[in-house]
Amino acid sequence: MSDDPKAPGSLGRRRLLDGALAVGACGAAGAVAVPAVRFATPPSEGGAGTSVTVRREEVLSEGAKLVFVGAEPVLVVALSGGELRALGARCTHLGCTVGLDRASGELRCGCHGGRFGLDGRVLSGPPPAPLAQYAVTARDGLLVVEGRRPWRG
Amino acid sequence: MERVSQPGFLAERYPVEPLLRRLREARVDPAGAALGALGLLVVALLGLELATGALLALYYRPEREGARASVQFVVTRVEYGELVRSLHGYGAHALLLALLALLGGVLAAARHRKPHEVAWSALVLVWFAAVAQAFTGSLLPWSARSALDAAVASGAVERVPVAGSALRALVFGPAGGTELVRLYGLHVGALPALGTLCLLALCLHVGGRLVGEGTAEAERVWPTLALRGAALGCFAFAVLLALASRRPLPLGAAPSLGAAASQAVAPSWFLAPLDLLLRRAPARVLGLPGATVVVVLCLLGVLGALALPAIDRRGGRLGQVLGLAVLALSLGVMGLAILR
Ligand code: FES
Repeated sequence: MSDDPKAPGSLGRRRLLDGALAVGACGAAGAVAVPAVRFATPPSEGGAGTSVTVRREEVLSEGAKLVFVGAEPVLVVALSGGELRALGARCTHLGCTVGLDRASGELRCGCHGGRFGLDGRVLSGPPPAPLAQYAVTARDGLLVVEGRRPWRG
Repeated sequence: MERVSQPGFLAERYPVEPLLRRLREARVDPAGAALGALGLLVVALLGLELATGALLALYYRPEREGARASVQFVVTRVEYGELVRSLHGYGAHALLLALLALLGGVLAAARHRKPHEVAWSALVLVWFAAVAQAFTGSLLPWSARSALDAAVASGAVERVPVAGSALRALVFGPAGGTELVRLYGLHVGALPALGTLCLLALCLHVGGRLVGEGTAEAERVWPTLALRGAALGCFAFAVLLALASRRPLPLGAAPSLGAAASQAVAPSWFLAPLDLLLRRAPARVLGLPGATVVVVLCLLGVLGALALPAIDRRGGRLGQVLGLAVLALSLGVMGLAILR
């Protein structure tokens, strides 16, 4: 009898049908999920804000000045010889913004206690890499921090 | 003359009488009764969170500039605003504590094994949803602390191998300070939905077993267990009310520009174990950044917790012992964080 579930032909057909159903269900779920995830993923933004200016006196008087190149926080610091550096202020551990600790003259990340020198090197703590460096140039009495192509080390 | 009792208006439309009759006959063993009371406490606390959360949502604005001001408005201008906000905040902590107790109880009574595996996984998911809920909730007022926590969280999500950046974009949105919209969406939409679904699975499991197993000796479900749960809920509510009115939750400092973190920040107590790992892991492990290794270990831990019943098949106790040990360790770290 054809509708006897124990008949070998019927079992094979049932497996096939089950498989087809499973594949169909997965396909349908994917057809919903993929556009949903694509929708939820924000479109990438172009490189907004490629450079920013800051006054030299501001940096010298406070020892460090936080500026933003686009959405990236950059800390312009004055080394002891008067040399200026622009360091990416995003901690290389998990991305907290580092700040100058005036008492010790180092950069500190309060989130997990990372310490960096004013040249961006890791002194201690969990950060695995030195801070990013940005090019600084003087133009018309102002400092220009170039957001393009930061480097490490 | 004999009076024929007429079914009431509700009983006619909702014929739950047979179910209630079974419930009245149902009995559970002492361990089941204790877990049941805790479960009822969890449900009561969820109700409190839902009610206070719905009220707070009337005023909240999910944007960096407006969030803190809107919470401040609730606290300073809205009648009972401070009380409702504090109840919501303290209630979340109480919910986490109750869930921890429930997880520990289930493990100690070995109720994670067959035939409770799916229910166990659902409970574990409820726990993680509750932690995510408490964490996103702590970010919503966008205080200085929230801004740092958000930075760390987005950094940690980015460390997930392969899918990190995509996941970060999905949870925190595009760069440019719109993360609160997504976090708020998670807090009031996706996470409660996940929690509710899992809770439903749990309730079906427990309810089905009660009706089916109503013959054991020991305690009655109705009214003994129900009353006990209600008493526990009332006690918790009284404590929360006292806390919320005597020590309202502070708003936290406003974030400074860029939220530089040269001062040390302490994590919320329920994240203390993760924070400890992130702080103490060496900068590099086997050539990989320590944070990446910690994040991978945590993901494996989540999978392990979900699949604990599979480890304990055939009467083994490895999973149970492991689970209890991890729980006890975490509790210790969390306790220290609270004391500090
Ligand atoms: S984010 Fe800076 S030390 Fe962790």
